[in-house]
Amino acid sequence: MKTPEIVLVGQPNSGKSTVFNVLSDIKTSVSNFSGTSVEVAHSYINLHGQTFHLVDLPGVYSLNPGDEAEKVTFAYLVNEDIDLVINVVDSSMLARSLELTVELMEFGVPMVIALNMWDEAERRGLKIYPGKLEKMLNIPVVSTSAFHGKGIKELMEKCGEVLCQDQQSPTRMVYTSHIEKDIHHLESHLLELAIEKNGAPRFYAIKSLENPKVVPEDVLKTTFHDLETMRQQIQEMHDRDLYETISYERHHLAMKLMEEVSHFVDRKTIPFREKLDRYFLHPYLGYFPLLGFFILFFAAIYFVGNFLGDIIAVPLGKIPGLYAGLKVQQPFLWFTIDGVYQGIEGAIGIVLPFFLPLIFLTSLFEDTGYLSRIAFLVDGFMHKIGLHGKSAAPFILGFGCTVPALYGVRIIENKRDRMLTAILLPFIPCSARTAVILALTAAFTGPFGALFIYVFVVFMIALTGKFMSLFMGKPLGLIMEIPGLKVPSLRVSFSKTWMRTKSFLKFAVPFLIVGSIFMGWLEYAAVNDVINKALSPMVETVLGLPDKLGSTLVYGFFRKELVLVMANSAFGVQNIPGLPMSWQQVLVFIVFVTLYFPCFSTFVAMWKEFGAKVVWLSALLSIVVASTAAFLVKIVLI
Amino acid sequence: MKEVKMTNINLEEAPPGNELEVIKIDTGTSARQRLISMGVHAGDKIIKYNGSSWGPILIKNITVDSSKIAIGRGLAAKILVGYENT
Repeated sequence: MKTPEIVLVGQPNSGKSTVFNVLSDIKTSVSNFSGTSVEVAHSYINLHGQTFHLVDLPGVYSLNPGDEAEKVTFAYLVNEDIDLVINVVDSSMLARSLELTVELMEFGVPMVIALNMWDEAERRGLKIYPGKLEKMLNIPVVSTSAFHGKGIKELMEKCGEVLCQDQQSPTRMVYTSHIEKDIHHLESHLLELAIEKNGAPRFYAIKSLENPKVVPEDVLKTTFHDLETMRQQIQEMHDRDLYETISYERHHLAMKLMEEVSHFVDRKTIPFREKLDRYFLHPYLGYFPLLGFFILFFAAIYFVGNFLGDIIAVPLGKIPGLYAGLKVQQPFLWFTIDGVYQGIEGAIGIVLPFFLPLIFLTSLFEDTGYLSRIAFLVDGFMHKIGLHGKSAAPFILGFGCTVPALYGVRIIENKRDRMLTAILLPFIPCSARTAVILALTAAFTGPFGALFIYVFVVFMIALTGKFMSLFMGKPLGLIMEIPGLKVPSLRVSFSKTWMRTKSFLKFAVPFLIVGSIFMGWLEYAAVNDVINKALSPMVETVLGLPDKLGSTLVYGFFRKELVLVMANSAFGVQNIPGLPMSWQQVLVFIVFVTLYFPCFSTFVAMWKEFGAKVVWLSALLSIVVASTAAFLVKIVLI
Repeated sequence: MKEVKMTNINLEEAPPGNELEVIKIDTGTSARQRLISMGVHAGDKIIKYNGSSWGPILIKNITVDSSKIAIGRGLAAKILVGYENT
């Protein structure tokens, strides 16, 4: 027998992921589902001895997909074998949420409504009567507060009940009579048609009128004949496009429901969170908490990252001793084993210590709603480089590590903006490059050199963004909800951190190992001189640097911080100040190292998220930008 | 009865703090659909939060759940709102 599949559908910020996480805690031995490219969270849960497949779909405002995440959800609903939908509703946003509920009812899968964030609604002075709503919709309604784990048991019991029933017959939501007549007419044509997708004939009848783009072709063919005349008639009658007319109708249905099932009680004081928001969103004062946030965020990651790194370094550092004996007797084997070690060490010893606090803090902040306030504040700046506020969050993450930052790009709706953000991201100096910058400037120029590098790099990023956006058209204007501020859940953040870390390790470690083995072989084959010679037109002629740095750049592609170690060994010096370079050359070198090819892990992550084309584009662009920037510095300084 | 006069203006230039009524969303189709699905409709009563001359416009939709939505200036200029002149 097939495992019953339950999907969570709700608007963004409805607390859907919290519901998912709380439910996932009742896991069976079969843990998370993986290996598919679908960006949805899966889990198997066990309830009264029965196993359910639980799926958390990206938040949608409506069933008219507007962005990538919404498309994923729509496609999933329409194509997958779903047994039950849990419609997670943000109770404090009841009117708007009910519009989606009405749409899901039209879609016609068995459903249960979770009136989530019940406490938040009460705080806002909204009193809701779930019993009334249940009666009016003829669908089970459970009030929950997933954050506090309340109502979850009842929710699952209702789900069990509905799954046992043969059929659910929700109340039919009736539109204005003349539209209803058209829907009815279209529906009657569709009744005989075996639609290969999920969704009731009535749903497709309504969508044919409202948004034909999302309707499957065979359905449109059937309705097409009468459709155009109908659409024209309605359009003339209402003097606005069909999409609006139907949405407004649904809006009125939802408002009517809302009036029937809830009422406002007076609240005497303005909630503390509202007061906070006056500062957070203030056009001038807002930058102070923003600055504080940045400092805290980076300081926390820096300190925790270093702390964890130091702890892990001790046992990891002992491992090379175990196979050191092989170096003389069997150098090839030694270089191979060392490659494996370097790969694992790179992932666990260097990336992971920074990755963990970064992911954890991001998960935590994601849930507070503060990231959207940052996006709001920096939108003005970002427009100048052809992006908008939503790219801010991934950029911030990029200072820690480019890899998780690339995953953060998902939150941007528009493909153009996502691409541009992803292409600019590798230019932001991550923690490994920060180490290179700080170590080299400390030895050769002092802090002003570092400051110069940062200002110059940011300038180059802005310039590149401006340049790229010439080819990519204008960004769409910003439309972004600022969700209410919330206290984040530690439990959910821990579980998100765990899931993301696991998927990172699974994916990146094999690549790092293979890459490191390859590097080990290169060293074994002693091809450094060949590489130096091959790269010398670039390194020596264009950039005016010693040609011995050529091979260090190749190593730097695998791990940026390796540049330092390799430069020392290339020149045979013990420490960085001993490098035979002038401070001008060092600055040129830093600029190039910071901007050229991002590291191998970044490429892999980029490939996974955006495909090979974007990787090539990014590679090419980074070479061009790095050479140009370093060349400019050379002309000015040398 | 005192006559109430409505002044129509675009959202970008509308005065902050006043109660405004959305008259027409004259943006491109996709932006309009996005706004509608986020609960902003013609006829809704909204309040514009900020009066700064740069950055996005922040509105609070009084009619629908008091939700807060940030709208880029370019789009805001294409949203027609009205307010009562007293």
